[in-house]
Amino acid sequence: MTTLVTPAVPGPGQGEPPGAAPSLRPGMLPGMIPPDAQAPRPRRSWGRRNAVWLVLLPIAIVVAAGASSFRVWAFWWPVGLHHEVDRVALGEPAHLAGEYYDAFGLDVPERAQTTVLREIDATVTSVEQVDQLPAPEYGDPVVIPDGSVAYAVQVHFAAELRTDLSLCQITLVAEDGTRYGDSTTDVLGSSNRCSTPEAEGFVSEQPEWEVTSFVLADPGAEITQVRLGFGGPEHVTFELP
Amino acid sequence: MRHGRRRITWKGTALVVGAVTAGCALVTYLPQDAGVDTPFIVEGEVGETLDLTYAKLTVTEVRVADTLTGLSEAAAAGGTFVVVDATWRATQGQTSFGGAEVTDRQGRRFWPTNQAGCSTSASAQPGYAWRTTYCFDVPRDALAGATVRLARGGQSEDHAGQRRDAVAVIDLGITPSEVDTLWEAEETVSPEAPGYAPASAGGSEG
Repeated sequence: MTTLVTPAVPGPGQGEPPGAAPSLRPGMLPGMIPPDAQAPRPRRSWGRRNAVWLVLLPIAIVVAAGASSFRVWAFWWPVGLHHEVDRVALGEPAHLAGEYYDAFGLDVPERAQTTVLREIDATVTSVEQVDQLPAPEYGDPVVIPDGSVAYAVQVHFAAELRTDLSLCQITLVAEDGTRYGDSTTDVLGSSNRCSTPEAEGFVSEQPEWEVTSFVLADPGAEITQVRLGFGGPEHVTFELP
Repeated sequence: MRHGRRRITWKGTALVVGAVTAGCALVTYLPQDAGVDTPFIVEGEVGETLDLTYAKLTVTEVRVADTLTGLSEAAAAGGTFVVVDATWRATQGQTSFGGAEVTDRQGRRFWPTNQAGCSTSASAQPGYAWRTTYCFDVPRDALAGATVRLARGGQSEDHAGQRRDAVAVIDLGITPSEVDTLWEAEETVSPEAPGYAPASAGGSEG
């Protein structure tokens, strides 16, 4: 804007320097904001000025947590019995269904390098304390150690022929959460706890069969559950009365 | 002010410099690593049953031997073998006990040998006590005041596997006056294979 009228009262600097915009005050360069300039509107609060970022922050936290959550399913979830697919009382059938990746196809070659759905109906028919252990298939007889008691767990299975039974775990869970016998090898040295002793290989050979697995426990333990799984994460729980 | 024209003030400068200084001081002077990584040390003696939350541990006997004889081999010590008989009773679930080392008064660390049937680790489940024999080849000046450190976490170079976890440190009970006798004695020990422990050796529950 050009001032066409000479001001009636010249400023302290004897007028304006030659060449400067007539509206500029002395000591100010073009583009400067005069120190006493009024803000065009009242200054907004900190929260309002940063509203966008405040909204984005929780979203960013959720996205970051989600991006690192792959560790849960990659490292924790598949290792151990973490997914209870069925829970029944003693004597009732439970349906265990879960997928696993068959890397080698040892017993069933055509399953090699495929994902297999394993479906088994299992019924825990009895959990009894026993005074002695039967002779194992291989090796020396096992005596129940001093300071331990032994339980016999009877399980009835029904599944399609050639269902993979390796990594079978039959675990007794005590009231305080202690897990007895969660190894895939039982006290008699059998590493195929869901198969009958005479079975060859790790797949089922009959449509229905029965196994007895022996587990050592502390004498005072109050057994409340039986867990059955094949390495996890899927498993079924049988609640004892 | 909305368009980024901000004046550098003494107040703002002091705020930034102060915050950076305070942050550096916190990182430098607070014992962060130690506080986060230190294991929970449970100290005890030979014959005492220690509660490590994941297991109960009893060191039942400590022997010294020049020679170890196993089923298929015999091993002669470079120094002398310290043979530590221990009993593990897991309390939560199946547990592997991977850490075993002897520490002497100078802070030197000796790892176990697997010669002549000695174990370097153990694995047990709740419901029974499991006996394990560890053997350490140590020099004469390591005997007096030596301790054995047993845990489920492996010791590795800097006890990395034992961070934030319970670790047992047991005094082997060797006094300086006993060192000469132990060193001169020509003992031969046949380490027992790992197995169920008798009730008298920490086998009973609790």
